[in-house]
Amino acid sequence: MQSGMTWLKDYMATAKSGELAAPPSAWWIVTRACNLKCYYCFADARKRDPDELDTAGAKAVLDDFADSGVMFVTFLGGEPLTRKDIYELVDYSTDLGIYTALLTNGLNVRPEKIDKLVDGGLEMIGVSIDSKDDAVHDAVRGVAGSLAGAKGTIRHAIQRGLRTSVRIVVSEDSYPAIPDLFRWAIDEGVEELILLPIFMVGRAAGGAEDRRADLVGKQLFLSTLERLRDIGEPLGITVPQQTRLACPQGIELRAPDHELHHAGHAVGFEQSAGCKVGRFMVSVQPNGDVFSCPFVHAKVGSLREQSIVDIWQAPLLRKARAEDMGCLARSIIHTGRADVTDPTYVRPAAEMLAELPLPGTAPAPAPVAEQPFFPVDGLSLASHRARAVTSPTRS
Amino acid sequence: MRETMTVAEAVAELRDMLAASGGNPTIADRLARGSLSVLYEFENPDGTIEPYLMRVRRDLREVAPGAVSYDEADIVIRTEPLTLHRLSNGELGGREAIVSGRLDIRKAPSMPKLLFMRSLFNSYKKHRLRTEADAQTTPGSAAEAAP
Repeated sequence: MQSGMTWLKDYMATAKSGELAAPPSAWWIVTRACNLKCYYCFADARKRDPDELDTAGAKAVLDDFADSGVMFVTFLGGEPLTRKDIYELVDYSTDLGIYTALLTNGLNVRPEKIDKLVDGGLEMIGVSIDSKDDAVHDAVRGVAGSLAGAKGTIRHAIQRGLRTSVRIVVSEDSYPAIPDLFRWAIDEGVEELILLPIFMVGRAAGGAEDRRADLVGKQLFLSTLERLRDIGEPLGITVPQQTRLACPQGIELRAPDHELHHAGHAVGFEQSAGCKVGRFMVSVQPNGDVFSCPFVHAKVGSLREQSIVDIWQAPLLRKARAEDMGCLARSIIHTGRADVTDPTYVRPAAEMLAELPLPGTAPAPAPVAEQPFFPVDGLSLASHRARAVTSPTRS
Repeated sequence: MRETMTVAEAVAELRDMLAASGGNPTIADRLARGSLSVLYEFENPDGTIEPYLMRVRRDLREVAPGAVSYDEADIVIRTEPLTLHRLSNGELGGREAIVSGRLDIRKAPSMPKLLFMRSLFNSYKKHRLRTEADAQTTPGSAAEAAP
């Protein structure tokens, strides 16, 4: 590592030890309004919350972040571009010196919208894709033409010099084609691929098999990381490995000999490995409430009433800093509580699966080579649709 | 894209950046509430170092020749003038500059101070891009008049 990077390594190490006054990063659901209907949406995004922070309120939060040392803000949703003031917020955030990113689904994102984001100083844009196949992606997303929009957004963003990431949720629908998507992203010049497991929270929650879906989904995610490692290795791409946590994982797609390879990424991945709760990030809800992570739906404070510095000392975050608890989203899924150790972190999945009663009387289908899992309610669009039929109160 | 730059030109850009920040209400607000002291150690091609101190606070915005001890500065940066120019006009990202070794942060800032410094650079970069865009779209400008 070059001598000039030492401070960054020190900073990340301090963050990992939980000694920073404020989180380095905030994931901010600026709106729950969305033009897609993804069955696994962790935010259960559909329409705008009535108590969503207005422009002035959002700017006040950004002021607090800058004064407190929050270095990265990622605007997401819902679809953040449905907010008319999003360009103003990006401009304001970057004026404050905050590294600002935005996640979009790419639907109806005309080039002019990306140009406005670039003009506002946006530094990275992430686009969610489920498959290279229009039929699969559009079915999962619930709107025809959404894959074309996502690809077009990525291409124009790259043309404009924006850093880009492709975000893939590992589901039964996406699993088979993720290697193809990985290669496609490399060929397009995408900088980073973010792999995410499905968490049985938000719209994904509420099925009869949430705990089973979580366990199998976790295996599916870990298996995908291994597959990508095998593909990436001959290309010089390092795919970080996980064995127990299954936390969303960034993969830098530019090999070390690429002129735009960023060693800073390596420092970030290495130092932030493990659960980021209480050390690296918080999640902000549309109304200013703060969760410990986008997938851990447990409020730890409100930015309408408190500074992020005060919220950063919330009991749950202090506990997470002091103990190695695994994934708190899985703590909630399996125990109903965020402040206890994730059982999937300390027990073998096979042992836990064996304890869970199978729904109905039919035996589980045997895994096959291409899909080393058996269909589970919650991990595919088909199962979610079946759920809606049998439970008409859900939408 | 420029290939060379003198220390004097780099310092002129820093002064231009501070002047431009006054027209940005977000930055002006930050300037009123905070302070920043950055020691630049410019490397000449012959290896000599030319130190300049940038000081920013409510009643003072200046870049002056001379050094202070590292303890007295919020941030200490050693770099070539051309690297600073490329950073301020957006040709080079801060991360790339650091990773390539062209920007050596010799004293790390607190994160709020680093954000303060980034705010000046970000604002200046946008100011320049918008000024250039305006020049290209203004009727009668050189860009429009060109065949």
